[in-house]
Amino acid sequence: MPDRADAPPFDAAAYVDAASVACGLKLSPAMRAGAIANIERTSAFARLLDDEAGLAQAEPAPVFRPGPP
Amino acid sequence: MSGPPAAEQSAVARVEAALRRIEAARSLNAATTVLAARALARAAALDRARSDGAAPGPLQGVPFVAKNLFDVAGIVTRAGSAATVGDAPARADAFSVAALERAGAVLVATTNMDELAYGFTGENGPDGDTLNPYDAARISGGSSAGSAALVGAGVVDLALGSDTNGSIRVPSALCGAFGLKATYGRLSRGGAYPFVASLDHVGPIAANPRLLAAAYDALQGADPQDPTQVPRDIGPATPQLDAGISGLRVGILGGYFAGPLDPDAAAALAAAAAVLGAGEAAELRLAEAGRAAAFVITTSEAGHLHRAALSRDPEAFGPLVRDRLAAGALAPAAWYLAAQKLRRRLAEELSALFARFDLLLAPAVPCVAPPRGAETITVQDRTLPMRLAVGMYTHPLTPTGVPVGVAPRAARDGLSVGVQVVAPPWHEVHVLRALAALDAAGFSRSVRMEVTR
Repeated sequence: MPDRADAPPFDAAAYVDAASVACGLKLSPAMRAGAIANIERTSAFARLLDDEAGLAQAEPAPVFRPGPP
Repeated sequence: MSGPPAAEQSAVARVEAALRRIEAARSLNAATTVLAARALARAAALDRARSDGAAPGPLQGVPFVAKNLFDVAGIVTRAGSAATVGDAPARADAFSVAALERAGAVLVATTNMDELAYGFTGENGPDGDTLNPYDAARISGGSSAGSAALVGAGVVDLALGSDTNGSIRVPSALCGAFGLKATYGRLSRGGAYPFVASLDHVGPIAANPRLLAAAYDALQGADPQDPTQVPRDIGPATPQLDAGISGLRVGILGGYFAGPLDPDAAAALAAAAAVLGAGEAAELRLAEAGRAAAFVITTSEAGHLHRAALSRDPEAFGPLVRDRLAAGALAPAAWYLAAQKLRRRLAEELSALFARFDLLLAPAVPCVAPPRGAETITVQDRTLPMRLAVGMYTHPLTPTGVPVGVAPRAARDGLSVGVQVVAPPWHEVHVLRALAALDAAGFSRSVRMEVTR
């Protein structure tokens, strides 16, 4: 993850507008407002993960198994 | 309660009594579909088989209810959402429903829940809120709201729930029931409506640890329909329930889990520690980050699951859930991957603690059930968002996949709180032995109300 200290503040509205187009998810005005509020909350939780050193190099929890052992 | 002991009653008599209690408890808004004809036919078949000399099952004639995300043949699996009403009826019972019925139990109703299991409160737009059995102005907890409320009210002694971030544990604590979230991958999720594939568990909620263990025993078994299930030998818990906790080293999770706690939640934890001989504190350093990881994984996977339906008909979803799902569908992969990496570290840290302990205690909820509709709660001078805070102590443990049980404890004003009993992966028997020891010591005495029988 990039060092957020050097990053500009997260613009949730701009992110939701761009990502909804990228993902093909149409948002009504009411839904857009709710999605922005929720992505802001999710961003706050995601920032807590940035505090853990060396996480980028860690193995993720689910390990794909191509078949039974 | 009068009349013959339950075990001596016919299955039909027990089911008829349960159906009467469901009707008497209708104001709780906990049951969504009452399955009277199916249940009575099933009970009559059980009674006929008994009179023909068949041996009774371990759950012979026990009426039970199931959260309405479990498939029940012939009815639509609602998962608490208006978005599912157009779905085809289920063609067969969920693995869990069938497993309990094979053991002799009888499904009598499906139950209310948070929409799509996305919530800790029991609030539901299309079906209405489930009410707390001890105070109708308060939340039941969720998302297995109706299942826990009906057990806590004494309407049934057994229920099926699911737990993604605390959805068995939170309502069990707030409604005065025992609950078990088994190890991730232990019990089949076949025929259960999905929410978050990485975190979904199913499990029993019961009036006492003995019934909880009997249900857990019945729910075990391989299901080729569930690709997340881990092949394991069946390990019956019931024969070991009376072993007590001799030989088990019990600690208390501190740090993040130490507070905020209201006096009832703190007293419950202290009482459980005294019964189980827990003294030494253990700190799970990554607990807060683990909660964050659970949040990110939940919103991302749930959002992806429902993205197409959100595009097609967003107004079919309640606004609370719709907006959470929309945000999750748009969340960047960087957040999700960081959460899955943190999850592994969290599990490794907890595993290291289990080198010193066989069981760990933690609060199940920070406080008694908050008022319905509250946006915030204040606990030990900290004001917290209510809908998240009621699950703040269950949420961080879910990503580790370990088995966790809940024992309820009577609190002020006739309400209930609870404690979590946490064990290493695949050690559900440790959890159930501890719950039995707590119950034998009177830990949960006077916590249950009884609807007129």
